[in-house]
Amino acid sequence: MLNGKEYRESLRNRDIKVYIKGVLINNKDLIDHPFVKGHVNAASMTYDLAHEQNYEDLMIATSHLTGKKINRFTHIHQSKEDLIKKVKMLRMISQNTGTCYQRCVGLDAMNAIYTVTYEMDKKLGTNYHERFKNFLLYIQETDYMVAGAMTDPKGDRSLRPGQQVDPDLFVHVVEKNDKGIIIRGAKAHMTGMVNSHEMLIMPTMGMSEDEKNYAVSCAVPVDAPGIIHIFGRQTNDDRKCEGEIDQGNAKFGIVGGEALTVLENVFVPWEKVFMCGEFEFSGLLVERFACYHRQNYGGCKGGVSDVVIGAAAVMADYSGYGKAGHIKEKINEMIHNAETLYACSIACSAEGKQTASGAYYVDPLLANVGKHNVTKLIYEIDRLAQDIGGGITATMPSESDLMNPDIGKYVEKYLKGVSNIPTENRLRIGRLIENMTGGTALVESMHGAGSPQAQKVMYTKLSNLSHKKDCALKLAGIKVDKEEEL
Amino acid sequence: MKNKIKIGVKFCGNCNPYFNTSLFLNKIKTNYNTIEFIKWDEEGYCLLLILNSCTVGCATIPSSIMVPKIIVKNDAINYETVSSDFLFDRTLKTIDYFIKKL
Repeated sequence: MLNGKEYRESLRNRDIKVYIKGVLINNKDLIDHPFVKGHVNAASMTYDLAHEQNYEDLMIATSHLTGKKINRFTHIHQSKEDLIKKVKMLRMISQNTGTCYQRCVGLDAMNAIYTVTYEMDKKLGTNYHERFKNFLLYIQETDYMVAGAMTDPKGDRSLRPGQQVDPDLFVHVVEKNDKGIIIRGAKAHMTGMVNSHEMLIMPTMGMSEDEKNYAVSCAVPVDAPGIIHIFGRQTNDDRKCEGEIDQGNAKFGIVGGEALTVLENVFVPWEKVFMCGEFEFSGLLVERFACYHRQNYGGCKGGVSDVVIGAAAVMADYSGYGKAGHIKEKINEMIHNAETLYACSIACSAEGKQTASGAYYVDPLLANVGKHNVTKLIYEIDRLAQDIGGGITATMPSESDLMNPDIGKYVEKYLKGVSNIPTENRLRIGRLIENMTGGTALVESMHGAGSPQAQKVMYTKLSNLSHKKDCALKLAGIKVDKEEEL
Repeated sequence: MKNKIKIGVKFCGNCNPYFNTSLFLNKIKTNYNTIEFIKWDEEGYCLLLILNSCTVGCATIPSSIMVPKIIVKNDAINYETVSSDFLFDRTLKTIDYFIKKL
């Protein structure tokens, strides 16, 4: 297993093309760029913590393929306990980073493709599962970071892939030959992409027979010829080019460092292709990936919320109102919300089931409910943090003002809270609240792992509504002829 | 010379720590100059100390390891409730109890 330093150094050897604010960044220096560094540090924690005795019970798993100890981020879940440990691991890492560490997307893609290729091969006689196992062995052996690449740009949402004016708005196969396939299109909002080694491409939605060319899944190195990454901007990102305090979480940054990844006629050899035209399995792959990924959010956002709750409580202490009844009530409300998020992630894991491949899969309804809660409760947790934090979290002067020899004394004097706490500490915790509860961080909770509507559409399918109707009819004393369908 | 007694140690993953199990172990070590504390996946220990930092106690207990186990949680030792004020002393007593039986 790699440690964080080895992971970072391995990234320098890639021939990756990343543009940031219109400039192509030298690939050797990419991970030191102020916009990227924090995200690399966060991902590094998934490597470093695996080497700490205190965390190994969550961070390390045993490969079902080799029997070797591996980083859990490269593991195929073999039990309900594995699913639960994943959630606990995510919460613990978030407590250490206060932000996204990006590596779960690849983990979820690997589990989804592992289970679906097995079922695809059984039904269609294809050989994708063995191919994928070879890729998995490679990842477990190298401990490389894998980006999960599902979301297509999608263009006009009222049109199917084949109906778009521009066919490249969904990733598709443009050529097949005896060596492999050539794909074109783009993947949007790609978390951790620029600091990964490989990407796992999956279809963005269930495809129909006339959309076979869009039913494609494959593994591609992030620096393969024809790929460019255009790094996304974040709220207040230019603060990363200044000092430390105004960033709030200077070491790890905010969310995952997302990018638009352009695939301009990218060649993929057959041994790295895991779906090519099997449209009838594209929907299943999307659903498996989505549910594995939605499982995560009560873990990682639970951990991020632990930090936000702690920050709000510290700010209240620093400002002298920590013992006020309404503050305690608000902190308790935040705890309630955070543990509600966590409870769904644990529940969907505890209700997990074995798939035909032997790998374990979460309960999809509970996983969707959990992610749906995140689209609401994180906003409430962050609202309460801003309530407790006070207006200062949005109005305080900069680090440069604090350090200015002429005016720093005024910042020091007039932004002080309780007398025994240095003003700088109060500003630091205020900035942490500001950066963790606004802008980019909130939008990620809304749309990461799918927008709320993507969760809602699963409820009708998964919630057994007819049974609920039967329960009501029985208790209401209504006799229904079994032949009569409601 | 008689072999030094070894105790294996396993931690939970510390996702919700009510106490610092690393410091707890260090404090235990200061009470036993003649005992070597080693990682649970090493060999040659006669007792396994499993340190959980919350009440859930989710550390995986290796079933294949056939030595006596002391499972510490923040509110219990081997499933018997212990007040956090007495957790350290009771852990020492439990270790002593098992060592005497060796």
